[in-house]
Amino acid sequence: MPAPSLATSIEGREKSVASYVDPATLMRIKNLQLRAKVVVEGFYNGLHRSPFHGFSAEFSEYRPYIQGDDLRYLDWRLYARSDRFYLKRFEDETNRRCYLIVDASLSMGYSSIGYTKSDYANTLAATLAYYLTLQRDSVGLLTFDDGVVDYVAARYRPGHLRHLLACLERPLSGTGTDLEAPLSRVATLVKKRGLIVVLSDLLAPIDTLRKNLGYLRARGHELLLLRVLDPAEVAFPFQESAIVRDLETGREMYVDAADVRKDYARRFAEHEGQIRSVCADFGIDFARMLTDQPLDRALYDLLVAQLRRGRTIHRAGGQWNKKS
Amino acid sequence: MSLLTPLYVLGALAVGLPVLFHLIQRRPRGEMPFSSLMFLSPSPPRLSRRSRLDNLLLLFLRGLALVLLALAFARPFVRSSAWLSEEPPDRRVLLLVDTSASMQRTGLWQQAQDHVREVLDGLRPTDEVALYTFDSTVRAVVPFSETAERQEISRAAVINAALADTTPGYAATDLGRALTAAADLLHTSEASTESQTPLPKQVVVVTDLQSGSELGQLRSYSWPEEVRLDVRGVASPQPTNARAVVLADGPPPQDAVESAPADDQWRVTVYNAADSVDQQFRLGWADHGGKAIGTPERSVQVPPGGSRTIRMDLPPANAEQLLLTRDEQAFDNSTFIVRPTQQKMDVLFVGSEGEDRDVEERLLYYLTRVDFDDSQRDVTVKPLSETPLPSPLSPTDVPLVVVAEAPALADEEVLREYLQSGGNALFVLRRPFAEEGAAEMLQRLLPGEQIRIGEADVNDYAMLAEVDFSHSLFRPFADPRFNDFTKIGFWSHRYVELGDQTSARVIARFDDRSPALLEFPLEKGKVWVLAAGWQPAESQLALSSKFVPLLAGMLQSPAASTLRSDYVVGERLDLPPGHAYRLLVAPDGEIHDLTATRSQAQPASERPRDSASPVVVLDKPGIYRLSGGDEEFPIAVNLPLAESRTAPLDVSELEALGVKTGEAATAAELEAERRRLRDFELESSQKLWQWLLVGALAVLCMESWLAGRLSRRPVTAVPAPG
Repeated sequence: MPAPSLATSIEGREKSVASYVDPATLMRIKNLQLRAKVVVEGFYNGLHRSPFHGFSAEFSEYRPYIQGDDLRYLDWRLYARSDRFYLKRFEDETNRRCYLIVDASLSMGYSSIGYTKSDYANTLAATLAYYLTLQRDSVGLLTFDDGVVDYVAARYRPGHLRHLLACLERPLSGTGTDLEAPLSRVATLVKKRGLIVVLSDLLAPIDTLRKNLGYLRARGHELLLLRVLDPAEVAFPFQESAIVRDLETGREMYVDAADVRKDYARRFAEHEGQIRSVCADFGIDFARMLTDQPLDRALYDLLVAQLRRGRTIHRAGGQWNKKS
Repeated sequence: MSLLTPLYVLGALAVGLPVLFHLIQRRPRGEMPFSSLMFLSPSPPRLSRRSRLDNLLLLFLRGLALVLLALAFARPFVRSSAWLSEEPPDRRVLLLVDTSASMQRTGLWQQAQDHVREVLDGLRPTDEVALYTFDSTVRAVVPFSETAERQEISRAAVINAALADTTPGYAATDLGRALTAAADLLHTSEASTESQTPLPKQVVVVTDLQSGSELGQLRSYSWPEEVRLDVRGVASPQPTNARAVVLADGPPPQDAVESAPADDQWRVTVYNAADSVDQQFRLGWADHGGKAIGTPERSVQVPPGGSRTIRMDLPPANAEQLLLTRDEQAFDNSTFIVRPTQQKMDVLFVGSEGEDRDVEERLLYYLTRVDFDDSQRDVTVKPLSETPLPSPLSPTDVPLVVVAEAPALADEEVLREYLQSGGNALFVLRRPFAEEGAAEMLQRLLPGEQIRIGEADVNDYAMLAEVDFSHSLFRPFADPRFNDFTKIGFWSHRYVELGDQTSARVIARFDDRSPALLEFPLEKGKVWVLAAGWQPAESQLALSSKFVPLLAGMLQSPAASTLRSDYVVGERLDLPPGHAYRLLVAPDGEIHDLTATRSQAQPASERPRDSASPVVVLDKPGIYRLSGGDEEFPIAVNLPLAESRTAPLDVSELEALGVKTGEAATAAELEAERRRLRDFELESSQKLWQWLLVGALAVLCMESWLAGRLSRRPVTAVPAPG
């Protein structure tokens, strides 16, 4: 299936759908699993209307039978029609692994619209986990602040989702955001290729980001970087001067908002530009998730990533860096 | 209105602080948490535009309370004009100028006059001033009474003129006496004037502060607290000063010169002052006019601060002084000498020493062995056993008569006359004499005395138990090294019983409390009675080491004194009783009449009370000559040796003796101190600070009320700080 048409369809769908669940409403649901379910089912509803059902079909291709092949996979119907022996090949989807790397540092506790970035990121992670579980994929979780907080290996079995959600519901702690530790940890732990989804505000120096992402990419992992940001962090809409306190370090700074807004915007854009540049270099999907935007978008991003992964394997046989 | 502690007013500056804090609103009201500061940079603080002062009345009240509190701490008071009109008191300044011999050194007297002038210039018109001079005595030159009524200019003129007439003398420096006298003068004059406040008192002493100054009197003196001593030192630019002294026992008898050629030299000690520069000096004899005569000069080297004794050949007959040369300071270079002549004297022994006695048992045997000779007299012991006493007996020729046997009646009369004219007699109560009318003879000789003499009962032996060491005879034994008389045993002795009305003084007693040695005064003379013989049959006295000094002491008694030939400046001429001199010729030719009952030259206070002979103070160095009839007796008068120790003392040595040095507080300083005390009194009596405190409390009450009212209103504006 041609990729451009898929991507275009998703984008078009994103724009056309206005009936998504309002995140503020969604966040009022206390139960994380219920929240995920709401998002995923809404997404499915949308899918039913989409032309892409059966996208995750198991069937991949036919190949001619050679002596010694297991006769179980012989397609008898095709033989009946064409009198040739063909084997049916299937995508190895059941053993797909996905790791969710969730930022649990204190900066994720910032909120300007009633719920925090952490709430949003946890809901997002739960949604992805629920969705993947429904697809019978193995889902793992790693939360971090200035170190690794929780690590749950990727599995598919009853109760695993509940375990993941419990980990996500732990309160925030930590005084910094250090991406290096979780990424290098995942790089060492996850041997088989998989999908790695990073949910973080990425409010940290990105010196080591390039190196660690490069490691993961070199191991054949597919990476999805979801940057969760509060709208105020992007726009810096404050007017008055105030003492600004850093949520992580507690450092205080007198800031005249009107004066520094321009400078803030410039430096913020510069930082994000660097992140985007890294992601572009390694073929990593990057998406900025503002907390006032619907969560379903992340699912689309996930699907795009899966799609690209499948295509990459299929076409390039592991040459992940070939641009699609 | 004045303030006692004006610095507290600075506290009122605190009023400005709340306003200032309000204007510089550095810290915004709100605090805003934010996820990260990594994109932010700090903004500089600035004056808030919104620094509008609200509630000005409240701010004013709070400021007023602060100002009132600061004023209360500053202790204000109202100074009335009556307190300001008091005149500051005057100072009493006593100028004390050293006129001792050492001030004759080059340049010192001029410096001293300059110092006096300087002090006079520094005085205020109302200060009282007096001028005193001192050497070994203190003299008032211009007392306070003379300057009290004078104007400032004429007062200075009087003092300067008086000082110009004064020159340094030749006497020693008794700085201690001068300072104590000056301090006493100022202290007592204060007590007499009933002034309201004590006057500041200052002693200004102008002296060379030489190390030979006598300070002994300061040691036992409590320096008055209010008297300050200002020492104006003068110093010579030529410090080298040496002094030659002929040792007192050096000159041998004139007649011995030929017989003892080994002793034909005198010992001379040369002292060099501690701050001298030169060490090499020359010594030579000189005649009356100072011209060198006799043997060539001798060179002597003395280190600074040290002394050296050398032998010099005897001076020629006409030599009058020993001259020290190569010395920068000439005032003490001449040492006047008199070659002494020995007086011939006789000690008479009255008593027969029988042939039957052993030689060792004779009193005379031991008496002749006592050496009474010294540099001034040649004493011979003459026994008079058969011959009568020569008549008349002169105490000058016969200093002592020893009586060991009752003399003839005629001799008794001679003896009485001798004693009455100042002679001394020693009665030795040996056994036959005591039994043969000694008591009767003594009673005849000493009218009014009841004397009984008998043999004492001695158990084994007796010894001297109570010795009066304050008596001149025993004073040489007073030292603990010599005062042991227990080794002298008396195998037998006489007891002497005296009547109730007796003038006798018991000088020593035996251990049975009977007198051993008695002294009876008889007009000018003295009678000693020894209650035992000194020969070994009766006692161990003659064989003991105490015997010779005891008998020699009887010749040394003042009554038996001879004429001295060496004096130091400032001493009184001491003539023995019965002398025949009529005139004293001073070195400068001045003639003193010794027969006059009163010397016009001497003030009454310096005259001895009991002496009929006039007092002559030898006040110049040189050779004085006593003359009477055909006799002439030269007397050498020299400068005191201490006067030659010219190295300066440190003022701290005076301070160590308790003298309060430094300038007395000036009248202005005293007045300032008094004004401070008056202010304190005024303030404590007026207590304005209490009213200010009450005012501050009232203002605070008003402020609380106002603040309460304002807070009850709906708040529309931020309350003013303060």
